[in-house]
Amino acid sequence: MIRFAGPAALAMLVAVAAPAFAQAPNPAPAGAETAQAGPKTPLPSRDTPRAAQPGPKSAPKDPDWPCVQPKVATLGYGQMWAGPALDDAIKSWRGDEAREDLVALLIARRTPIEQAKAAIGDYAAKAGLDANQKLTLLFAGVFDEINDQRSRVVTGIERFARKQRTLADRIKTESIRISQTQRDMAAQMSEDGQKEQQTLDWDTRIYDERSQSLTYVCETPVILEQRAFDLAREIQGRMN
Amino acid sequence: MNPSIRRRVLLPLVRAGAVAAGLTAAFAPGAAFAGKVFVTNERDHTMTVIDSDSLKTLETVKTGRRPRGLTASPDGKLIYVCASDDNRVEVYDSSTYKMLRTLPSGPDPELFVLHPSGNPLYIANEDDALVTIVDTDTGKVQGEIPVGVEPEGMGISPDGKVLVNTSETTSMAHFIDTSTKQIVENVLVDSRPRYAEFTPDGKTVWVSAEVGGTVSVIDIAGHQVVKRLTFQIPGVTEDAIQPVGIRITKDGSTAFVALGPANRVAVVDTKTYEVKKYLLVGQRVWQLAFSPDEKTLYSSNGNSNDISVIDVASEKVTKSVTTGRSPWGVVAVP
Repeated sequence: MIRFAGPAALAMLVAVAAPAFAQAPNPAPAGAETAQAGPKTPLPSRDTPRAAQPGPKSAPKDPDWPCVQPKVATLGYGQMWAGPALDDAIKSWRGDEAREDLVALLIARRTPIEQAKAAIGDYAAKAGLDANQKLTLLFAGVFDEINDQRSRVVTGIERFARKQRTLADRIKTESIRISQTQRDMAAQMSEDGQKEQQTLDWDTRIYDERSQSLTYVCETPVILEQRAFDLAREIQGRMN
Repeated sequence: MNPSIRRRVLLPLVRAGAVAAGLTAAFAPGAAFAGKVFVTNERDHTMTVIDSDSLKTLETVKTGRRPRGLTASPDGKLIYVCASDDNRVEVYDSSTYKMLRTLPSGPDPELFVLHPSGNPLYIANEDDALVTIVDTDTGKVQGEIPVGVEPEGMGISPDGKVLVNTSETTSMAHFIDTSTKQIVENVLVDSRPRYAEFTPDGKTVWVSAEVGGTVSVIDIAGHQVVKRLTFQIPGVTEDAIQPVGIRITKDGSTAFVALGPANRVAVVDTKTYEVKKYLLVGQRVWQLAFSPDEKTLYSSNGNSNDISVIDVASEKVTKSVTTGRSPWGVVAVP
């Protein structure tokens, strides 16, 4: 049983290390097009690296970004705000205690969204003549704070990915070393041998559990963005 | 022209027009106000049916797993759905919402396009680098065309002679002759092309590139990129601008481009290629669909779990309607 953990961990690592874009081997139909007057620009072979891209964003995939969701480091207010430019409001929304308190309430994930929307309604009702300006500053605060929270989460995810990679490397090196040094029963049953195997088992387990939480971890920036969008829609709906 | 002559000539024409209009109204099933909007919910494995007038949900239909692309038959009576994880296309009756039959699609169908006549159906198989051609009457596979890696976008010319498929990984638009079922030419576009839409005159095709952030307008006759559209929105970072779905009005004057996580739909003048407006819709907007009378445009917003209703004439977003989780495709029928 103990011996099995080594190869299993190795197999897992191979699966992890395999590039995600590896294509299923797919026999290319030979000369189907070339028999006739084929296309001037042939289809590239499926095994060749991707053609050079003329687009502005041809950067390779970031190895520190483990999520299927594309990495968006910071949000832009234009993604949720159709009103006037917010650049100044983002710098000046602080300074009003009532507004700061309301922003804190709105962005807190423990505040149910319905309660947050009702609070925006109350604020708009009491805002008086310069409601549009006040609501703009309120949104600037919500956006600024959520964006900040979200950026920290994104940095955290990258740190998480780096740690996982370091751990994966350690599991790989250790399992190779153990399979080479513990060739007989005596070595396996020795105190050091057992300890090494136990450490490897633990590392593998931690790696697995962390991998499983990745889906949830990657959803966090999305959830924050959804909340910002929802609040933006509510605030804009109260403007005239 | 002499006014009396003009009256004599025009009056019968006007009358004939009125009769024709009356007939159309009388025979149009359910008339314009009772239209329906169908939305596939990728994460819920369902399809939401919305009344286009009241914007109330009429029904939530259980579909195969991971429904994505959907389209309607030319008469609006059949709804075709790509059930991506069940590797098949499902055909629904648009009035009873019953599944009538399934069509073979090849593995992982993502998007497809119907021949303008309603038959056959051309399906992009994302996992297999193939376009599968299926007869919608017999359900038989008529052929498979090898294309680039991760094919997705599918567009067909108004006369049905040219099919364009885009492949996400190869980043090409593949021009296919529908009579010979052979690739005529491959055109390199920007990174990760997602959608192909012909202009109604059949002279150009617009191809969106999600990662490249552009739309390439390709001339059909010469297979040349004649224009590469880019998008800039104040307060939106460049990497959030990810063009996907495209729709062009029947008069060919205006194009609408869904810009993914920018949460905007660009309104483009097709003559000048100038972006007139960026409409704020919902989160991660991917696909677009006109109502049959083209007065309304619907956008499916995958992360805010809703569709946006856009008034085409005033170019304004009028409403948003909640759907299931991760709405992917949208189509409207009379």
